[in-house]
Amino acid sequence: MHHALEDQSAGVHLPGALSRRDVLSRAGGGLGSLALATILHGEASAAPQPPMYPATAKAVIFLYMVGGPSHIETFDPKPALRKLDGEPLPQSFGEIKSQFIKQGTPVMGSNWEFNRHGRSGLEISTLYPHLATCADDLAIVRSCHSESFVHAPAMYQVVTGRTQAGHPSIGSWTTYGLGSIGDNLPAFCVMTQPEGLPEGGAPMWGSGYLPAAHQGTTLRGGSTPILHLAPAGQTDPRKERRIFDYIREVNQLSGDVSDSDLDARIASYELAYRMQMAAPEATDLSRESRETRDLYGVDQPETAEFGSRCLLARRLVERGVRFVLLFSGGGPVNFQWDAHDNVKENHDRLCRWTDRPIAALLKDLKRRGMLDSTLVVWGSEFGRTPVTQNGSGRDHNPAGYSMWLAGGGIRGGTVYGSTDEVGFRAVENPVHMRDFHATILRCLGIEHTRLTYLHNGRRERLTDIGGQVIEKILR
Amino acid sequence: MGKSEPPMQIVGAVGARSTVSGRRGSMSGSLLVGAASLGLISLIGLGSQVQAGSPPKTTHWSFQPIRKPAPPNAVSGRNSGALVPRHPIDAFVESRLNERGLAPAPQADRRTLIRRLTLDLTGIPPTYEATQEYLNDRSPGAYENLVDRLLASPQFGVRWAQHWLDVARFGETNGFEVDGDRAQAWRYRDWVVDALNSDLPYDRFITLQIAGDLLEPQSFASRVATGFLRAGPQHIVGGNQDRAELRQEWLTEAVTGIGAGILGLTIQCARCHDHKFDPIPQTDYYRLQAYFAAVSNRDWKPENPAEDLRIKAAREAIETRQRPINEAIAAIEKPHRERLMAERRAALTRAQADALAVAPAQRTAAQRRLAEEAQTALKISWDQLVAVIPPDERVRRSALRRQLFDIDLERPEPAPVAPGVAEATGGAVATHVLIRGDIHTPGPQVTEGVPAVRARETQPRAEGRIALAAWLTDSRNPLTARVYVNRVWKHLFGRGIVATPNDFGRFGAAPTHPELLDWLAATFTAPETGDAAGGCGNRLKQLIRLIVTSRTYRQSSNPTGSGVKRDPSNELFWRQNRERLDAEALRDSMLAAAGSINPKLGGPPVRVPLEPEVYDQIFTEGEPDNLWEVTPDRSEHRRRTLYLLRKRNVRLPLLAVFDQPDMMTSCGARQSSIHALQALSLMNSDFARQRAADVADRLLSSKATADAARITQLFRWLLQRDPTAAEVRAAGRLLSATRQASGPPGTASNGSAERTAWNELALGTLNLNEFAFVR
Repeated sequence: MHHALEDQSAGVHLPGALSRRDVLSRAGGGLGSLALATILHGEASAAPQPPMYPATAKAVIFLYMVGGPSHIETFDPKPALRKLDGEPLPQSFGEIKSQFIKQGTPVMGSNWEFNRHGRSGLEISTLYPHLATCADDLAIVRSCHSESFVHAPAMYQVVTGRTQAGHPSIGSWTTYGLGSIGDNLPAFCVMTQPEGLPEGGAPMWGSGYLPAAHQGTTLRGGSTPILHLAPAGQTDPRKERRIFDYIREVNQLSGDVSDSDLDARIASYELAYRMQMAAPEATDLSRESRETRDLYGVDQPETAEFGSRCLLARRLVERGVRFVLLFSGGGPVNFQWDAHDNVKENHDRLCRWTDRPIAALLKDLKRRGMLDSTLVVWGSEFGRTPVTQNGSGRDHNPAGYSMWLAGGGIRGGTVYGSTDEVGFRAVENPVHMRDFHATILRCLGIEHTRLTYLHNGRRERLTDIGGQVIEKILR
Repeated sequence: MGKSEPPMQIVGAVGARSTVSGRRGSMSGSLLVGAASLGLISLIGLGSQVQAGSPPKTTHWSFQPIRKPAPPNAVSGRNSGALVPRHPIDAFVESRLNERGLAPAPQADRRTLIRRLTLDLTGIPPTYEATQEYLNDRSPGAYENLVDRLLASPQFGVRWAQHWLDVARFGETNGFEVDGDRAQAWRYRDWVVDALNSDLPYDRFITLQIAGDLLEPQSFASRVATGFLRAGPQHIVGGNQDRAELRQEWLTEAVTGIGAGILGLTIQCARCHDHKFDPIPQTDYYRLQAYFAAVSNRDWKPENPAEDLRIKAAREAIETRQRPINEAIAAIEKPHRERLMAERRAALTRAQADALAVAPAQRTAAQRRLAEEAQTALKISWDQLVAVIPPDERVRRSALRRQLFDIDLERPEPAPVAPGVAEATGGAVATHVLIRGDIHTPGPQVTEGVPAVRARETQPRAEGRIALAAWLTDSRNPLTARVYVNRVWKHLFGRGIVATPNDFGRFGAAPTHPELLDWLAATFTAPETGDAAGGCGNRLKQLIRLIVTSRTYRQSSNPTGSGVKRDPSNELFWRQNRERLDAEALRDSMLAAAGSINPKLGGPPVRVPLEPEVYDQIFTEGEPDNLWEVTPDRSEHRRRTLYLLRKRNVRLPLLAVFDQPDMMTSCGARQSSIHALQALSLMNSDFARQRAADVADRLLSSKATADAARITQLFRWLLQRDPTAAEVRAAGRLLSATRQASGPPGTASNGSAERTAWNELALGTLNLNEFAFVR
């Protein structure tokens, strides 16, 4: 539910100096003018704002592939590489700088074939047989580029717009701009690879200088999917009802003249209680049909883990979660897409883990009528170099690589931009992360230059000093 | 800063900025025109090249010189008749209220006052006994005595250090992927606590943080102070890094810290272009950076050969004990490693194996690639190895590793180092203006200089930072004192006179009480006179004493009266602000309420136990055991929050949900949000549950045995007051509900019912609004 503030002059820009109390006062006073949902997410002032454009997406699922999948082996076919295999990269392409490779390492051709798929004839490699059947839903951006060839700063750029940590995550910006949809779950949920974290760590879903209410909440399967959802060892949150009742009763006995802070805190306990009820239900995959579980491969060893999380992502969005940041990869290098040693072995394995679940997510959203309002994004901090590393691996390449979008307002079956003949550098219609972010916000109905927050003297925004919406991939 | 100062002469950085590759921002003018008087320039030895005349002028309030206005003499209607000298702060605040037809709120009651003051000054609530003592102290100086007592408490430094560390964005790890520990970074934290407890004057406080290594090179403490310059995040990572770029990031961090922390300016905006809003040309940014051109991190270690030998011997003893364990682990791994290796070798192609057999120097290009592939294939990572070890051996291996880690805990403390900065020896390092802030497109060379003042080209570099510190702390610098007194005001009122403490530029908020701000700034820097209102000598404690003895500070925070409608956000301070406890005060209050807080000061950071979900948030590509070495002494887990390890990428959830800043950027004003995850933390976290259990233990072993008596005791410990009859009834209902749920008396399930009942009541009471707010 959207509940616009009564005082429209508040706008989306919220000066950091104003406390929530100030804005509540400006908004005409009492709690009555605000939905409980806005308090759940803290900074009520910043919460639901009417979108600036007609929104084509209400929610986002960001499938983040940790470590940098090879674009030239997935979504960006480069036949020229095969011809140059084993040769030094011709000088005309410029010098490749990356984190580990030595100069003069030879070119390596793609390890997989590409075929055309769907009515659109989109080229996708044989690594993604299931996803290929969704080709007509995808808009592949082949000209992405970012600014660092080191994981953490590059990751920060993909999710916060800057290579330095400490800026709000795109999920935080989204909930800050739009508030929550449902009442009973955190608006920005994060699911990491069980084997470990991405290099960038928790700052990737931190709220930076935005209020803590906008930070991503990590979610796991099981009976206590959210940290501190229940006391350790206790699974029935209803046992706590009597304590909640006592807290409410004594709070209301207080002789303090009430104000919005005190009221908000009372309400936050009610919402916490509801979250305790709602979250275990949301994460209970046993409620899904056999057919749906099979679609995601929940009961197959290779897809069980990522498939469960994709299915969970759909259930969260269904229940009003605004932004889901879902990581494939993390921890030990073998559990990341960071194929320095052996692209073939690495990508073969990681695609077997993720291809079917990702395709299932798109199909499942579609058949439930949710794909039209859910933006699905697939991407990473960089692609990989056309030259080899360690014989059969590839190093990081932020100069040109692919990401794709689907659903929520995206024109499917499109390719945007291109890299040079060897897939090293974005040459046609380069798309900076800022452009990518501007496009995601546009789908959510937000003009990226107007979603700002005053911090240490700057009107900070996700797109910092740039951002061009990629109009051509929008419907 | 007296009234007899000569008129300020306005000076600009003319010339310098016109050399910047033709880039001319829309902004003309120089930073700090007020401070850039000839007097000040000659004071700090930068005067010879100053170009006076054709001043690019700014009229922005914060760049104007600080004058000390006389407190308005207004006598409110309510005070007419008696000529009671009015506290200057009240005179300023009440005169603004008068103009708006508002009256100040009544004074808060004494119980509220002692709780507010104790929390504001020490970050922990008063005990019930201290509260009673104060309530019963009817002497005229009771409040002032309380103020003095709290200012003298060592816990004062713990509380106020937190505020400064927020500004310094102090962390004990580097951030980014590796997020490595900074050995002994805690010494800077302790230096700040000590400086505040000993009331080191603010000018000295700043000077040592900027140039302590130059001023007192043999002083360990003064070198530690320069930790300020390296407090922010730093990218340390392997591979083909661009050293120049990483160096530039270090410089940017140092300059940004000074800008936001001391000057309240977003100087970093001028790294890439002339500042869009403030009169900071890009050249000024680099001139400021030039003070640090040869500066880098330095862990300074005093010579102590005997101590080094002792530590070395102790380390070797540890290694000797670990050796057989390491051998046992290797013995478990060996057959599996060999088997894995044999399989890998067998899987090599003939061509790869052949290439590998050729001596490296003799390989052809094709063989080189094949050999590389082969070597890659033969690499065995820890997880691949562990995966092929049978379960029982894996368990044994884990237990052995655990033994290693346990022995590690006994390793000696390393020899003390002062983690500060130092000037590189050797030649000077040139600083260039960087076009668009890019290290690879250098523009004209610049030499060090304070903003808007052209530096003398030949100034000895080693004195540069001393000159910078002198300029920053000169009482005629219009920003430093204003920024600082505003920070202090903010911590005592919840909001600054300038609502944006880190931004006094044009984009920041305007002061609600400009005269009061100037009066405070001028009074703060004026020499001590014995009476704080006459001059504080740059001493924080004097300034706090001055502020908290005002009526304005002591007002009730209840939002009643005409102010509610006419000034709902309380910009004019017609009442105190009711504030939610911040993360540290909340955790410390819970420990204090449980009677189990460990008040110890200083020392290495404490690692408290982590929830498994939080432990999983520690990034590693290695084996994920022993990533968080919990401090073995459990009494350390109950230390004040300031002493918990500040790891940038893994923050404690209890603190993070309550808006603890992330240590990435300077934080002058924390958020104060209220949301459901906070409630979950305070209801369900192990920390909250344990504190409730501590309280329950304390209750069950106290002399009180009747429910009502215990409930009274509980309220006294947690809220420093007796419960009302209605509260006793509510508590009684919770107790009986829990007892009932635990089964009939006498049954097995009821065995722990009493404990559960009191646990729940304690937990509920720790969650009350009254506990979580300062009224």
